[in-house]
Amino acid sequence: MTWFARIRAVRRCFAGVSVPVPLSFHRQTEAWGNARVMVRAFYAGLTYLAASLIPAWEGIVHHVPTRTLWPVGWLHSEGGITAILCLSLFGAVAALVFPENRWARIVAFLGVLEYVAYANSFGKIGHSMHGWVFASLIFVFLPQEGFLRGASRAVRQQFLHVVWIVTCLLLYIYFMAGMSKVGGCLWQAWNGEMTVLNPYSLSEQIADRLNQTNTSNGVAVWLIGHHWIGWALYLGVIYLQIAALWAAFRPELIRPVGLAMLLFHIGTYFIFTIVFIPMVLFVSLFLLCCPWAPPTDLGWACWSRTPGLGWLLHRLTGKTSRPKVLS
Amino acid sequence: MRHWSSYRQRVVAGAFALAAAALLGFASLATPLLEIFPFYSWILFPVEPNGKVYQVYVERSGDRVFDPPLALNRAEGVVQNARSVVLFRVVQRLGRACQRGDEAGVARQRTYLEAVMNHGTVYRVVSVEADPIVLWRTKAPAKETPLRTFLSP
Repeated sequence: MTWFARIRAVRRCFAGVSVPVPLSFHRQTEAWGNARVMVRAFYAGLTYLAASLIPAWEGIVHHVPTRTLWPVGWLHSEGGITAILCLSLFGAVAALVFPENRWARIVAFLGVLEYVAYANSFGKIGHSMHGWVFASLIFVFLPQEGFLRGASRAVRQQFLHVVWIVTCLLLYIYFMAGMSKVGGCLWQAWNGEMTVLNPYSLSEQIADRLNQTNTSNGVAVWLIGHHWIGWALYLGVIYLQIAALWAAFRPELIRPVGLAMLLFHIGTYFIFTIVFIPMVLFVSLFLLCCPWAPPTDLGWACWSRTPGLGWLLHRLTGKTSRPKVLS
Repeated sequence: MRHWSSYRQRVVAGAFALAAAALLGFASLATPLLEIFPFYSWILFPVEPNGKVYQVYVERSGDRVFDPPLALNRAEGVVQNARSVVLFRVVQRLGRACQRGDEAGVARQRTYLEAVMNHGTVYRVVSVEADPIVLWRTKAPAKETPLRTFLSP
């Protein structure tokens, strides 16, 4: 069995029961067209993020880090910071204008890598820009011919696969965030500590965060006082984060999961004051604007395909486990 | 055929790259920053707060003496970005290094912390025990154990 066949078997395992897709060639062409626009939109987003820093450049250049992360190990002066800011902005612009040129995509990747490494060289590494760094790197490997109008079916599939890798990586991030909470729960239960299964778990997390930052906000205070609601939301988020990985293999789940993660990021701002604005844009692009996702359906087509819960719903309702035919 | 072969290679290479990124993320847990940038384990908020944290109290900053000492996250105007969660993480690592007697770790975290302080600031690292909800309501920790006192050069 070749590696390709093994990987395909894993994909089929995650995809579950599927039906033949009608007009598959037409759908591939359509998805590829959407993906080309999405790649350009990705670089537009990167340009926006880099350009939004311009008003702060004057202040940023004076902050020379004392202990740098490895990509900016060479950085010891204000001139170096200016160079990084310029590289991140003009690299993104170059890739937006010439996405079909690999050199432009490489420059965009170097720019975002250097800027994110610099911004995280002050004692704590934030993770809101990691997705952009990885996506920029993965997009370097987009096939050159994939940008041409007359690209063959195989090239179109290569192009779509590279975009799928980014989508899969994004969903893996959520999956790990969810699984780590399950692991943490088992570890704390083993040690006789409070776990996420305690109805006060989210209230404790919120209070801990408010203590850390010496802040307060209405939504957080309300949720501390209504711990049952907070607990239900918390468990729901953990389930959806774990289920996110399956969305990489089940197109019907991509947009509903994207919506859930978008609301999750908005919620974490109002509750924890954790700003994940670049991730909001990233999720919107790769999940809600996913090139191969069918029209959004938050009903049976979505819930029946969720892992675990979908199986339970089939058992309870007796409905067929075959998903709706993609149109 | 050449293009389909290239597609298969991309599928295999992509799967290996994703697996390698995940493995590097786990391997990075053994490093001081828990990350080999940009590879991260994506273990986010894995455990419930157990009520044990570290706090820094500012005792003196230049000519200003604080009695009682000022908690770092209330020391706006005395340290830069006092409420920042970045500083909170640095304080937690400093506290752990103090408790373990890890002098290299203490020196590393002091560099980050003292970058936001005025020269001549005297501060104390304290181990705090308190239920988060009770602490949030009362602002009074159940137990505080002083660890070490430092002077920002």
